[in-house]
Amino acid sequence: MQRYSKSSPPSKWSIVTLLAISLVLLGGLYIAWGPFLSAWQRLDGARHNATNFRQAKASITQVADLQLGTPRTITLPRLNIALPVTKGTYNSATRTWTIDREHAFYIPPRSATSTPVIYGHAIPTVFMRLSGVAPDEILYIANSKGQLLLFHYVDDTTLSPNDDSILHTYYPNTIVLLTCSGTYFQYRHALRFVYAGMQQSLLASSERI
Amino acid sequence: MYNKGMRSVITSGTVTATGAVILPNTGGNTLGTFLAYAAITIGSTALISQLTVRIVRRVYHV
Repeated sequence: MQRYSKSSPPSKWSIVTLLAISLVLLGGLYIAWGPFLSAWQRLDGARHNATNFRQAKASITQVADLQLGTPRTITLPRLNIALPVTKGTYNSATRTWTIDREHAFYIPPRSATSTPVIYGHAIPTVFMRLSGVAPDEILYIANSKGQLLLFHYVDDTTLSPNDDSILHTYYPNTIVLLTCSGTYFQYRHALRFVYAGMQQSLLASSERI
Repeated sequence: MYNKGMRSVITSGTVTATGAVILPNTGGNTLGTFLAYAAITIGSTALISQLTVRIVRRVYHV
């Protein structure tokens, strides 16, 4: 009797076990893939960014202060991010910003003591790969004046959605990129990029970007 | 000065938080995250319950 009860259940249990293990593995892979990719990109960036930035800086024209103009495109070559930029507007009645799944959005400085911000969705086609940013990450912005501006990443912070201090904080010669972070995208991730100059060799072709 | 490969935190600047404006909601695929956590929860619960049943059977010979 004891032998019967021991031998019959395993075949039934093994299918359930297989299913349970598959669920855990698939869920774990989905959750772990993003952080793994980010860590890999940060490692890659730490190895190559300093050299890439030195090379990019070699061909720029030093300009004393940032004259941003109106951004048209934003490009982070190593992270494979290249997006058109459009103006982001705030609806104070619904307390929401304009956003879509194809553009980055520009918030001009609200006063002389605030910093321009560009925000976008944390999805693969927009800013998801920003989590893989590493020191000296190169950022290009082509503006309405036909200039190609070079920036490099310096630091970042995580904010609550209700903390709008980033829109009222002045960082000289800086642009801030903003996207969502957290398991359920409950935080806002602000990344600071400092201006390094205009890339002279690409000025003529910047209109095509 | 920061360490290469390490991320630091914005510490400088004049901060004036007014709280009047909500920052843009730039969230990604929350449904996918929810489903992944649901799969992990269901799968691990099933595994733990099976393990518990096996231990109880072995200990109490039922």
